[in-house]
Amino acid sequence: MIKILKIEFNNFRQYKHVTINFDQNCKNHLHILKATNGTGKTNFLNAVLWCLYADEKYLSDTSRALPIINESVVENSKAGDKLFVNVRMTICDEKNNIEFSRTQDFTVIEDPFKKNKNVIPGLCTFKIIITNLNDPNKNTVVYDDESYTLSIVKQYFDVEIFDYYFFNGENLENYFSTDANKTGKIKKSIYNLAQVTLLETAIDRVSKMAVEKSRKSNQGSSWEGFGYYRDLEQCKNDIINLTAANTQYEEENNENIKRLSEINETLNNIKPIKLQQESREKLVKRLKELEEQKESEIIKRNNFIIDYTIYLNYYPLIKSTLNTIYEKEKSGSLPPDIDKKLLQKILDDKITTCPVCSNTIDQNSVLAIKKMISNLDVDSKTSHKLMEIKAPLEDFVNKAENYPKERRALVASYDFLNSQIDECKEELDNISAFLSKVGTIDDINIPDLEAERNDLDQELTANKNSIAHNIAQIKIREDKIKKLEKLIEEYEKKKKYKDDLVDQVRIFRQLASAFEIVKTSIAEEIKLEIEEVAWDFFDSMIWKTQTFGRLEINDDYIVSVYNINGKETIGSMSATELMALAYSFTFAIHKASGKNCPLIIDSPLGRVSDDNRINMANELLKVSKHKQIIMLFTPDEYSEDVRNLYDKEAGSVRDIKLSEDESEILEVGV
Amino acid sequence: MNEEKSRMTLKISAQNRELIYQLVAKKTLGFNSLSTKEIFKYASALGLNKPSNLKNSDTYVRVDYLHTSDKALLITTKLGKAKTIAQIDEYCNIEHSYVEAEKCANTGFKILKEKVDAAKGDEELLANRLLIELETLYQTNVKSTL
Repeated sequence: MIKILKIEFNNFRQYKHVTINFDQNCKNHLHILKATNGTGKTNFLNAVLWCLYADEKYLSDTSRALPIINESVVENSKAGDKLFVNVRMTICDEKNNIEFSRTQDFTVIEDPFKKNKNVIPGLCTFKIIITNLNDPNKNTVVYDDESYTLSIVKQYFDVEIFDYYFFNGENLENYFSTDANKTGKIKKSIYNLAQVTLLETAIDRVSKMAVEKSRKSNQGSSWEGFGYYRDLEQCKNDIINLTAANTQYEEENNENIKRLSEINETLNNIKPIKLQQESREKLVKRLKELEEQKESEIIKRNNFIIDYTIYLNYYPLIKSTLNTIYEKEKSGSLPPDIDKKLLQKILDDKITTCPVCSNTIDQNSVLAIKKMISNLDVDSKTSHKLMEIKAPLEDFVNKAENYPKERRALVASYDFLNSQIDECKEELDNISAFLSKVGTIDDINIPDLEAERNDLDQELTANKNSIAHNIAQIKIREDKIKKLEKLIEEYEKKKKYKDDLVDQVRIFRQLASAFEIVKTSIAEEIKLEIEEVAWDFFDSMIWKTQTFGRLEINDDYIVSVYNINGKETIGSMSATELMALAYSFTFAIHKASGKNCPLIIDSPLGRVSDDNRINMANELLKVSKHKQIIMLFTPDEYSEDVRNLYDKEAGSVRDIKLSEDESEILEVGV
Repeated sequence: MNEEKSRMTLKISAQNRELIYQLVAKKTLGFNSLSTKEIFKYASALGLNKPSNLKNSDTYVRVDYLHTSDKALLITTKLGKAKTIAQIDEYCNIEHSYVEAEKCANTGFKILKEKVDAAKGDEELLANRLLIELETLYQTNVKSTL
């Protein structure tokens, strides 16, 4: 149970210096404050509301109200005096003492025309001091930051439903509003207290995260990786096939070489063609040498093509650049070819003999060197750059202009080599042609052998070419595999990231769904609990037993009461019945909030008459066994039958008395 | 030379790397024995008159590997087109020339691919065609100016 222990007032309207303690050791936590109209009943409520919310919510007309500071205090002060208003309310729950304290500073001013005093509001401060009752040292924590204080106040007396803590019996219609704004606040506040809002926030958050992660996981194609794997597999298979093909070519060539060797040996042993055979061996050897030379010539030719493509294409630009340099040189805008570092070294090392001409470096020479270095410093970077590139560019020009000579030499050498190769081949063809016609010697068919030899030769060359081609293809695929493996590595990283995102999306969606179920379940349970508790209270307070059938609260927290025939009755209920219903709903909200907060009621029985008063008074007394209730009565409202009950049973009964000049509460005494 | 230090590499379009792989693997025009800077200069010379923007640029030649003569050649890519003193000063910043040379090489690789494809793997045919083109180039660019 949460109870108000003490309320202290300082200069708050007529509550100049008043402290009210609420007795804790009583069987019923019911406290009565009696006051005639205009004494300060409503201002008691307003003081507490101002302390908690900085707002006197039951003030009839804020714009035309006096300042909250006690009028006599202002009148008895001087212009420039600093005054203050303070209200402190101390409550306790099972664990803590919590003190809410609001102070408003004022400065007194004097109106020179009206000749009266007024106040200018200054700083308004609010702090909450929490003392842990379980802490043996009773250490306190002070909160004065609004972000904390608002949250603490919300936990105990949520401003959205303040009138369910500080009950105004004269304003009953307020409790059965069908205004969505009002009922929405009840719902919001109950949801807050029951942590349903927390669940709603969680649902919203995890849903958004699910959407965000789902969006990320859908970015980019998830199929791209399949292409990489397929290409990788293809490349690997190609390499296997190409390698196998080369192995076969090599095996064939080995066989061919072996057979060629046998044929040559056979032909070499046939005397009539021995000469041709020897010639052919020499020619083959020569042809091999020539083809090797041709390889080297091809390299030279390729280099020539590459180099002269560069020189001849760039030639116009090189010439143009050189012309710029020559013009600048001619106009004297380029620096002389001087080694600036060497000049600086001569000065730094105080060299006395010139390292270039061996002349003596005297004082005049030193001055001349210094001047030269200074002049070099002011030359532009452009000039230096131009000087730097001049020689290489001239070299390019020379090479380009030397093109015809270089080309002639290359072509001559290449053509000569080709003619020698052609001659060799021709002679070999002649030998082959001769052998093809020579007929059979020593039972050996020479033309057949020669034909076989030619076929084997051709096959050898073809196989060698195929092997070379396959090796090149293998190299291309090996390079591609390296690239694909890198791509696959990146793809797998991305895929893992995406898979993780998909997992997270699934979890977030499950969470959102689970939270939604929990939220709906709690919300429904709370509503049912409020319905049940409100009905129990209502049923016990109402003397009619054959009229009302049930109480219902819809999803918007609008209360309806149905008679035993199932018809809505709230619009035709008496003031007493409405009051009973308002209390019932209030107690039900308190219960659903999970915190058994105190209830301060202004005019608790004001709208209730006759026998019902004592009936309701009795019911409220029963409630006060487990809940602190502070009631503010007028003497008329505190009628004899109520007095007979409460004077005996209440924890305290006090009269609020004004001073004779009506400027302040004189005492709040028993 | 601070402006040169800011640049670490010369770039080519990523797609041209595949072409270079092919040419190196097939030893076309002796590409297998050429350095990256030689290949780059050759491509830039081929596309010198039609620079084009790179797509998905990829690093290719380390600037550290360029000698003074290489830089002298590449700087003319821009400097050789300078018409005013202000342009000469501006184009002496080799960064401009590197960017231009990259664009020229980009076109150059396309031209080279067309020539290689047209020769259909016949190295001798390709070389002969290129030699004929050199002759024309000499006549047009050099001999006519002598």
